[in-house]
Amino acid sequence: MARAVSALAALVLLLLVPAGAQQKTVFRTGVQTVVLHATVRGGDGRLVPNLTADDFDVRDEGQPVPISVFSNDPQPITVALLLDMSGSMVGQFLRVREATRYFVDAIQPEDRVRIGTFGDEVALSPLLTGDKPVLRRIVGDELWPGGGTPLWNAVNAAMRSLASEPGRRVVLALTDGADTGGLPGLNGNAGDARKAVEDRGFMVYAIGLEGRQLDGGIVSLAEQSGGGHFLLERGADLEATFARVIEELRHQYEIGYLLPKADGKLHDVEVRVRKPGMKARAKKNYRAPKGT
Amino acid sequence: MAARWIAMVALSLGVAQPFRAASSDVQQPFRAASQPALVHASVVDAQGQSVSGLTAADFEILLDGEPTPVLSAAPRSTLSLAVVVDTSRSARWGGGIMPMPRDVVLAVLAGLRDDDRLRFGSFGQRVRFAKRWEPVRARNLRNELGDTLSVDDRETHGPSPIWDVVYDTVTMLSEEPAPRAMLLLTDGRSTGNLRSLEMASEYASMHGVAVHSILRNVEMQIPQGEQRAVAVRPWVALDRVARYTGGTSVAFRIDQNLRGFTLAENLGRAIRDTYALAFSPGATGAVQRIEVRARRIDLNAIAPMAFHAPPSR
Repeated sequence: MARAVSALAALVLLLLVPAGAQQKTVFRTGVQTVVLHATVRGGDGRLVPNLTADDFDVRDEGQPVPISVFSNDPQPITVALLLDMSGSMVGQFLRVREATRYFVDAIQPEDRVRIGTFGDEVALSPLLTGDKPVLRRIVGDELWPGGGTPLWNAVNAAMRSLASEPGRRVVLALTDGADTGGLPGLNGNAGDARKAVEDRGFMVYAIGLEGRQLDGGIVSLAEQSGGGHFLLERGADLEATFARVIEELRHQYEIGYLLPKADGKLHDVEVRVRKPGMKARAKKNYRAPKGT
Repeated sequence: MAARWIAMVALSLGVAQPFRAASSDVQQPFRAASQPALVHASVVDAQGQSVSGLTAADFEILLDGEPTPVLSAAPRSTLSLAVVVDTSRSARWGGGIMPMPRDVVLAVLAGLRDDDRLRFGSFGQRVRFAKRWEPVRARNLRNELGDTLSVDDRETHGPSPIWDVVYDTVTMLSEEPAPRAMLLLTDGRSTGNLRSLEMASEYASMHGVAVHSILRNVEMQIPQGEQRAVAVRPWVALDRVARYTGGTSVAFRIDQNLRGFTLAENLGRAIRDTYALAFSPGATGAVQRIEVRARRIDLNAIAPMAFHAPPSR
């Protein structure tokens, strides 16, 4: 979050209303802006894409805050896709690989994806790219089954790998279970990941395979970050779940408001939709920068 | 995968680069060469044993499918060999990095010539080379190899970018006199690469580096539900790199140590007995498909699959 705040402080955005059908609101934003990304679904579970700033009620530490930045434009995606290659996943290898190919095919040119695996090793591609042939090459050549589930090592490594990227940064983990412990020499536990979400605004998604319970830590992290989590039953359509995540990320609302207090503390945030039957999901807290 | 390999060869036909030495990536004009060029080839029999003492008459060379005369066949000159060991977790040999790779490397080196030069390297997330080149018969070789294999855990549990390692090793070797080769000890599970297998292979070919590899073979058949299974064969990609660059790739299971040592010794002798074959490259293109054959049907010649014409001066 501190990154998002400082980036916006440096730029001073001016958003213009396009002539097209998509509704968009004009705002100027100033120095210290808190940025949220919110997913809105209707009572039928479908995404609601065309709300305006007036449809949202945003509260910081329980106090309503006026929205100073708003966009309902489709959002480019910057994501580290983490694939669990642990021994318990070997029976899902082809399924995961095929679904990951689908994920690659589904992205847009402006999106950027980094593919990583965890098992014997935590191996993140150095390439963060929307180049589909390159991503397909990685999916085809760099997935190797075997090993444990160093989930938190992998999540933290993915966050570090995205740390210098602008805008919304997403970690999407596909796994079949809980962390089995870190690997020697590698940093990062659940607490570190939580701190990164609070301090730096990463968004986390988790997909659990085969009906096994997801790691409780990553479920709560996903909820805290405004991301999401899905638990698939045996034989469920993984590609459809990837498609859902992509669609959701594409149509999140970008909402910003002036930082109420630069106190260095954790602020609770709540985003509501004023229209009945609609629910918004966004990050639940952020750490304010201090003393500026 | 066969289609991919064909694509890679096709790619090589569209790239004009020097055959020897030059490390520049700048494209250079092709020279209709009248001077002889060299291609290095080793020859093995049906048992994989190196065959020495052959003459030009024992070989044939085809360029883009057309026979071209073999002008001479001579023993190669001093070899510059980089030995690079994968120290990543997945590549652990028999539960620990030591001592298997060291002993396998020493088995290869036992076959080399006294004047050959050697530089060790190891890689986890990146390749690191020993400070200097050593003659193959240097007294401290065993210790130096041991030092090279000492790596910390951060290196062993991250990605294993084998293709980047090949690329970086070729860059290092390109500063050395030909012939050049690298020997890679790995499990073949390549991850976290900036470059592809094809890019690394082409780069090695361009600089005349034969890529040899010794793999711990962990081939697996993994059921994927009731109807399907996936074959995990990490050795396949390195075998293709070796074939393209004129190297040899051998794989053996960890419970086949004796066989592994035999294969390593055979590889060392094949590298030792490499021939330098002279031929006229002709003027049909900057990069040509080359095929070196032994005329005796019981022998197999191992040579690069692409010939990069020298630049014009």
